[in-house]
This record gives sequence, C-alpha cells and structure tokens, in this order.
Amino acid sequence: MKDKSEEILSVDNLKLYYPESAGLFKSSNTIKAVDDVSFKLINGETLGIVGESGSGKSSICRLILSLVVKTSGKISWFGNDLDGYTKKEMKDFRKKVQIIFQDPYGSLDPRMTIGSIIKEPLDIFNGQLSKQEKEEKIFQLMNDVGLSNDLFNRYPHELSGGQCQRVGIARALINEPSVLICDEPVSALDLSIQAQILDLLNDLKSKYNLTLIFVSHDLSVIKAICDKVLVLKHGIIIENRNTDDLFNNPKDDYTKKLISSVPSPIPLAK
Amino acid sequence: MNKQENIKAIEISKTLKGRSLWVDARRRLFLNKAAVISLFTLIIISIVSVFGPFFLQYNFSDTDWGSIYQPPSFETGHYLGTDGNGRDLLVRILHGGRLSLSIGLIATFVSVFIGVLYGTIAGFFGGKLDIFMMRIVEILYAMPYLIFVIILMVVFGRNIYFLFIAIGAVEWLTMARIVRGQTISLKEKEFIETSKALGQSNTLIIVKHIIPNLAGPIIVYITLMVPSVIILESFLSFLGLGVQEPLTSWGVLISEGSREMETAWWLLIFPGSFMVITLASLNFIGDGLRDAIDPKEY
Repeated sequence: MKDKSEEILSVDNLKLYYPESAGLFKSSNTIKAVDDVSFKLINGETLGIVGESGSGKSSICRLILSLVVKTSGKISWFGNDLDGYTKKEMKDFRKKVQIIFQDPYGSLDPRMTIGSIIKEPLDIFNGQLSKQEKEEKIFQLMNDVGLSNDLFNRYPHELSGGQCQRVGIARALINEPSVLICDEPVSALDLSIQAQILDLLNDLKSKYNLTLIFVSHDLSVIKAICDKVLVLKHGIIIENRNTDDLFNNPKDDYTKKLISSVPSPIPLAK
Repeated sequence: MNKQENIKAIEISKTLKGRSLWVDARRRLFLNKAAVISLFTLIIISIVSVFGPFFLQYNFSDTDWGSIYQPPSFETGHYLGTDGNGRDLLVRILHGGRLSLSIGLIATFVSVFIGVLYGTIAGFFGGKLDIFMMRIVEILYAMPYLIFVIILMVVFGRNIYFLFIAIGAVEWLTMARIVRGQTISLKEKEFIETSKALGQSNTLIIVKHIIPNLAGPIIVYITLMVPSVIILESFLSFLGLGVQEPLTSWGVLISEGSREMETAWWLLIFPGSFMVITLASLNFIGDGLRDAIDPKEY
C-alpha cells in the first residue's frame, strides 16, 4: 500500500503567459493566464480549484497534461520533472493522469459509438489485449459508471448529458489512472444529475484509489467533494487551505465575496 | 452472474444498434424528392453511358459518307441523327458521357485527395506551417488557372491523363481551404483534446477523429465539384485543349454542335441536354446532401 501522505504531483512556480497581439505597430502586452502557481497533490486527496471565469483554472489542468506549453515552472510526477521525460515515460504518465471535460457532448466524437469511444484508450495503451478482453473491460467499466449495456452501439447524440458525462468518465478510468482531473465536470448538467455524477465520482474514487483534481466555479460543489481548495484569481493562488478552514474562516476578501455570493438553494451549513 | 451468462448478456446487448449520424442523414436525404429524382437520373445516365454503346449498331468512330447530317430518325437507326462525318450522334454522346463523367470523378478524387491532406495538415498543426502552406495556396489562387492548365498541357503533351491531373491540380485549392477551416474549428473540440491527453499520435487523431468528422462537408463539396470539373473540361475542349478526335466528350460535342447549330440543331441540343440534366442532378444531390448531413448548420 502506498503511503497515504505520499506526494504524487507537485507544481512549482508554474507560469503561462500569452502574448496579446495588439496589431502590427503596437507593442504587445502579455496576458498572464497562470502566474507563479505552486501546489502539491497528495495521494488519495481531492483537491478543489475554484475561481471565476478566466482565472486560469482550466489552463492549470491543460498545463499538467502538457496540452499547452508552459512559459516556465516545473511539474513533477513522483518527484521527477516532466521536462526530462522520454517519449515512453511521457506515455506512462499520460496513462496515469486522465481528464474529463465540462461539455459532455463536446468531449465525445459524434461519429463514434459509445463502445469505440471507451475503447480508444485501450487501443493506445493495451494493444496486446484480445478483442474479447477489451470488450469485457468496456462492459465492466460501463457497469461501474452506471451505463446500461444496451448503449454499447449507440451514438453520443442519442444519449442525455448525464449519460455522456458517464461515458467520459468510463473512458478516463478504463486504464486505471491514479489521478483524474475533472475540469468542471458538472457545470453543464442540471442539479439532480450533478448530484448523481458527484456521488458517482466519490464512489469511483474509493473503488479505483483515485486522486482527484476538481475544478469548479461552484463553491457548493467544491464544499461537497473536496478536501483542500485552491482559490484562484487572475492566475494567482490567493488561498490554499483545507475546505473546512476555508469555509469557516475565509481570510482573503475575494474568498469572502465568493462564499457569500453562492446562491445555493441548499444553504451552506455553518 | 457467471462468466458464460455474462458473455451472453454482452452479445445480446451488442446486437442493439444505434442510429449513426449517417443513417439519419440517409433518411433525410431520401425524404428530399428533388434529390432522389436527381440521384435516379444520374444513375440512369451513368449506366446508359457505360453500357449503352454495346447495344447500338454503330461504332462511335465509324464514318459513313452516305449519311452526313442526317436528322434524328428511327428508320435509319440514327435515333439522334448524325454529324458532319456521318457518325451516329447517340453513340458519340454516350461515349462522351463516359469520358466527361470519368474526368469529373477522377479529377475530383485527385483534388479531394490533395486538398484534404493539405488542409488537415495545415489546419491541425497550425502556426508557422499553416501560414506558410496557406500562402502557397493563395499564390496558386492568384495564377490564372487557364494559363496554368495550358502550360501543363504544353509541357506534358495532350494526354488525357494529364488532363485529369491538370484539372485536379487546379481544383484542390478550394478544397484545401474548406478543409483547413473545418479542421481548425474541430481541433478545438474537447474530444480531440481528450485524445491528445491520452497520448494518441497526431496521425491517428487526424485519421480517426478529424477526417470522419470532415466527411460531411467534403461529400457535399464533391457533388458540387464534379459539375465544375465537367464544365472546366468542356471549356478546355471547346478551346481545343481537351480530348482529341476521334475520342469525344460532352464539351467537344457541344463545341462542334455550336458551329453547326443553324443547319443541324440536333448536334447542339442533344449533347447539351445530357450535360444540363447531369449537372442539374448533381447540384440537386449536393443541395440535398448538404441539408441531410448537417441540418443544424445550414
């Protein structure tokens, strides 16, 4: 068994600057999407990242997965800097860190069946499995995320938003990753489905020993699921604390404002 | 559930088929009367062009000095009349149809192949490569295509295969632009990002995700490109750069017919009708496909 307090992922002084092209003869500004962000991810915890739109939440997710090229900083996986990774090591890393996105329909290829969508990661990482082994795995995953077997040959446009999100989760989990990054996974769903998906994530977390990074702008969701919270504003971390601490006694004015602005139908318990 | 039952249950659930976007599109296409009628017309014209000449008594290159400029008549067997060399017009139209349709198809295929490859690469990789590749397209766009084709024909000789390639090489520019634009909007989609996050190779992302999702616009554009290729070929033939005697195409027939239209009207009317019907059908099919494949976007 891994040490509970083991540090899986650490991010040091991460920066992502975009040049803002201001036309041919003007000097260009830089937009600081992520500015000097550092945090650590401990095995088994759920880390919440919260902030308003444009505060750099999604950029951090994409940076961790090397989907965008960072301006500077260091991302380490079990203490090893990702920059020094060979192609093969990078592939192993990608197998271990998966992401689910906000838009349930946008994250599924509309021309592929549910079965082949969930199968894609298997083809990349487990090419040696036979067709039948792959199918067994797919059906097992579909059961785990609560999808009926009938949906195997269906297409995304025939499914509801909640079902599509479950397909996304199944695809992310099929190679048994250790970290799952959830980029606003429930923001596009209605409240009752949100609750179902959050429950599902919680169940899967213990079943698959997952460590979650959970991005949201909704503080009630964060409160329900996260152990620790990063509060981001304009790409800068302004608070990095345990969830209970944060909600009971917010330090920064911005955090106070965020907490008081929650229009939740379920009043935040004191 | 034991393993056997489990496998059985899986097999059963696999028999349930979903409605793919293609099935939906086909249903919508077949509800479109104009498109269905055009599709039938086009199929009939193609079949008749390919197989018709075998059932007629005349050969397309046989001259008959005894029956020059015969008007259409059932008694002589020249159902659509004869031309200035006494050759049977119907056979010549069908032979011309073979050539025009195959030029349409092959040249379109050539241009789609180049265009899709070029467009997806430029769009998907973006950045400096994209800028460089698209500037080349713009430079080629700026060249008068007719001069381009004429130069090609002069350099390589008047070979009909070069005609295919020359036309294809001119027509791919628009295809590349369309494909590039679509690729850029597609690659921002989250399912592409997921694939990248999975470490899928760029080639496989293009083959598995980008091209299947581009298929709709590509197919629509093909149906609109075939007619323009046929017209381009006709135009080149009209200028005497196209197909050489005794081979013929609709463009050649129309060009000859137009010279004789005061004395022998049938030489212009019949090839002209074949071409007009074919082009109109293709356009209606293209319209129908566009509505069928993506009802939201148009």
